Amino acid sequence: MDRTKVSIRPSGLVWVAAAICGACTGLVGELPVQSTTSAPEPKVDGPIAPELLVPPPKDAAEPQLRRLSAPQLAASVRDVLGIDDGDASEFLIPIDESTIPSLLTVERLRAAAAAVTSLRAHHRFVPCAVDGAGTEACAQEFIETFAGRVFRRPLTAEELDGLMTTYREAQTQFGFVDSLDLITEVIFQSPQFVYVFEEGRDEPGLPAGLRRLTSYELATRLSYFLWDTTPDDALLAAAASNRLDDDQQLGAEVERMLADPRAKAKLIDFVTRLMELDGTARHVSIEEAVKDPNLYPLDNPALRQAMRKEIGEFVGRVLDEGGSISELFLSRQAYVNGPLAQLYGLSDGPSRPDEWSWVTLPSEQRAGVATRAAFLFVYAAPDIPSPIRLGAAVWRDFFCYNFPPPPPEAADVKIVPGEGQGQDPSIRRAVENKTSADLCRGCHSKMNPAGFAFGHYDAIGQWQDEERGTTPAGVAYQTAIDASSQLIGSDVEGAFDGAIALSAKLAESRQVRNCFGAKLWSTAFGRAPATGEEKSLAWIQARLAESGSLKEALVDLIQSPGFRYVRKAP
Amino acid sequence: MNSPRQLGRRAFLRGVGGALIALPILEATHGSAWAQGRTPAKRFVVVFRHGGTLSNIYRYPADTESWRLDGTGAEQGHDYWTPLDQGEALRLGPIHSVLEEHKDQLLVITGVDSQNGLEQCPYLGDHRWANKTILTAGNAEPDGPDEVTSLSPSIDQVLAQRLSQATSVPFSSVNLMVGGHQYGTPFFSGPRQPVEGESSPDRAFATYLGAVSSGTPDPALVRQRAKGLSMLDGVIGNYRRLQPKLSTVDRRVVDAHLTHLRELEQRIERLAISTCTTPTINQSVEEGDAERVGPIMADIIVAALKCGLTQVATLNIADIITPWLGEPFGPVGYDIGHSLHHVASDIGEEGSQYPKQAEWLQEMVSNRQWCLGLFKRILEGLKAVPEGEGTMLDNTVMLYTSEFSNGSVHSVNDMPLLLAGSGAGYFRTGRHINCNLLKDHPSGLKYRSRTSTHNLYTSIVNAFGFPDEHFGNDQVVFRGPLPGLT
Repeated sequence: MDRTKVSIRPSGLVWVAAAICGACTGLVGELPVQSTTSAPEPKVDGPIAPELLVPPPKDAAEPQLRRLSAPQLAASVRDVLGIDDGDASEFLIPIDESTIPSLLTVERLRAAAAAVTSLRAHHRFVPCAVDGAGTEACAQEFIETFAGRVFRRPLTAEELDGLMTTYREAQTQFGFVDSLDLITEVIFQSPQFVYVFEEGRDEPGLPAGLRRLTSYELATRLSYFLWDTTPDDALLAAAASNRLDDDQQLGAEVERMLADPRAKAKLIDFVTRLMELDGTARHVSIEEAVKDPNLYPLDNPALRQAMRKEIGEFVGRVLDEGGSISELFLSRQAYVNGPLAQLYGLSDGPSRPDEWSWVTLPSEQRAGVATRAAFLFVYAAPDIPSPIRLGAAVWRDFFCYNFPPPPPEAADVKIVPGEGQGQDPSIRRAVENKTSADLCRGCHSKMNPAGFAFGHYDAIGQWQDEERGTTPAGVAYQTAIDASSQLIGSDVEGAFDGAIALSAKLAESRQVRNCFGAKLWSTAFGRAPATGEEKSLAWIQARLAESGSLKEALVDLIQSPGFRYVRKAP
Repeated sequence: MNSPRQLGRRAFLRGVGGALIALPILEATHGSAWAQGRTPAKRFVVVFRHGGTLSNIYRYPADTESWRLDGTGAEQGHDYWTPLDQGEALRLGPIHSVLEEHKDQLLVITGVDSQNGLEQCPYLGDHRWANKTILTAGNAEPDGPDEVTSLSPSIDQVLAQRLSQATSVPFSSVNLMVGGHQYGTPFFSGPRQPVEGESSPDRAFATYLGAVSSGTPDPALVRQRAKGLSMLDGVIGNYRRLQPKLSTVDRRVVDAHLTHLRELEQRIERLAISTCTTPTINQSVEEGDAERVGPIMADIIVAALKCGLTQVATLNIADIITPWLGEPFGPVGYDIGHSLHHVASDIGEEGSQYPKQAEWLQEMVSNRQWCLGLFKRILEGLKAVPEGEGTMLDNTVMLYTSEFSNGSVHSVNDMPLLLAGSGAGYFRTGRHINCNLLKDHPSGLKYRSRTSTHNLYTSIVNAFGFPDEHFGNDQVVFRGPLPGLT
């Protein structure tokens, strides 16, 4: 967690807009706040317009040079060299906050290339004895094979020429094997490896300015999208024989890739990120969240690890069963160990920490991801649950609706149950009191009600029939929970009660599906949709609204023109 | 492939590769040069601490009169930064007291706003915007949904570029970090070009001091350097071949990458073989161990300056609580310095945590003193090096600052600004420069300023012999140097 960026407050302080809280109009304080809602919003009321389901015309955006993420760099090096994660970890370089690389990143790339080269794992690509005098032909064959593998495509004549020139110059000074090592360091720092650069190729009959991705470029997109690593030999072979140009064969290749455990891991990671369980600029991760040990003796690092595992297994199972978004929000299947079973109040579940099994959670208390321990845990304060954080998370994570940042004083306003609020000491009442000022209401009138649905869970995600706490005066209290809730301004408006009903709303909302579609898109491209891609995205979203399947959305995304074409200025 | 530059490189490698070893860089820059009576070289050091200091200033809209908090009410607001005397006589405040013995070489500057922070930050004070403006006095812009980037260089990098053009050094700047929770780098070498500090002591040592030897250069090191140049040549070739194919936006990325590769190249070329005594560090120190990392980073900076490897150094200290004095403050878990600060309202007389006020203050002040202790360590390291008729510190300007004054309210008024070293006699040190126009108000709580970091940085650039009339973006009312410093 050495690069979280904005203030996080692992404390009982809750974001409450205080005196100068701007309304959620896009203007906060003196400056326009950038809208971060990521996708153009198709109409969501009524049935899906048939025209949205018509496959989109061939159009695409101008491609942008993209640096592989640090995990992608490390995984690629690992897979090419056949080394383990630990040896490849030198490439886990802290991500620059800007798209422009920093000097430190370039220096770290240099050091990482040197470190993996020193392992000599690349020597197995040398087609002659590495300890001999070597020949230029041997060096050339090594460069063609190895650089081709690292660059994810065969070298151009110009590239080969450039690398051979470097080799020859090095060879006269440093000898054969040292020069191969030197070339290997060059290869791992080259733009053809570190960045994804797409040119596409001409294809007859395409609209002006539009080009089809080359087979190798498509293989690279597929591989980093579905696996977060470099294409494997089979995928490169498919590219080499132009099999990816054919829709059917592409479909078969995608199916093969989706069946791979790496695809499942990637989708689990997608959902984990969507729920911000790894921490973000706004809050800490499951592991880093602070909990009061006096109030929550059940909490410990192993329990947190179990929460993470449970979410991963659960998402994995939903994916295995077709990847239904409804199931993601509604299924009560849970993979639990002893401590988790205790947290969920199960009397017939496993009992030991190392004993894991699938159970069905009680229907009146639990549904899918939004009612699981991991989600409830990260969005709570150390001592009390936080309707404000949960409400903001529901909007941000599932509806792609982002509130502007709270003013600094908001962090100083503390939610204290039982503090000067008459007969009702509840957290809900405390939240309402502290956010009732006109200037706060702009955001909180939408945020709070969504969060109130979670009233029956404590700060580590345990079910509670009644809210129990202590007032500032030290008086223990016990009060009924009001979990009545609304999703104001959504396509699933209307009053409901509790987090199970909320989950049902999320499961049926088309806005939620649009949000998932947009986030999948951003995962595929590492950026928000751009001009030329709107129709591809709208089609994927409409299909997702209809099918409700994340897995099908993946396939749609790959089949969409936005994924397979690029726009290039002539 | 056969550009003149590269031919030059090869000639260099073949022809004079060995000869360069002859003259240790330390002597080249610090021996004979001064003997000939030239102006001593000047150096610039910035120590930046995330999260603000302990100040009672409240933020206020530009051009209106405002106030300081009296430290008793709901908003808290103790001031442990400001000197005890409003006038020029320097009586150090509690945080500064660790520097008491060096008082004569300090300038504490109060009443200066980060005007660009004020104008650009949401709520007149936001971590990310404040970080991007505090050392640049320039404009910033959003960079994606969660980030902000600067459109102009920070004062340290402006000086790094100019000084390294005038005097060839291996590192135009040394950039180190004490890692932890933080809000983005305040250092920029150009528009949208962040400068990040190395946070691993091992890597910092390897990068900046690894090629320095204390005796006869190891032939393996000489060979390593030659290979490094050859290798970078190859990498640069690959980036250059890509350049013509790129869009304007993509070119920015590749141009920056190329610039950095050339900087790596320059490091090797300029490092020659430097002989100099470098500190030894305990290789087992982990990045997260701030209490041990901090002093090592300070020592690396001193060594790099002492050995003539650079003229500019930055130390970026994350928002950490070090040392940790006691149990977390209620409810639990204020393990981030800034979160602890945000509990300020509870600690005031009317707050629920008032009984813990003394403990809280001790924690906060100790933490800020610890950070200033790293500044002190660098200061003392430089002071121990004789130079000309004085010490290396005399020919240096050191700046200590943060993105906020009062961290609890994210204020960018009355910024914490501390200078050490006179810059070869340019600044008159040992004083308190107070730019608060209402400093004589009987309440002691009134504040109004017409002075910005624009002015201070103009003064600093002038101290290095550059006659600039202005630093930062075009704020006409804030032109010119800060009066009274020289």
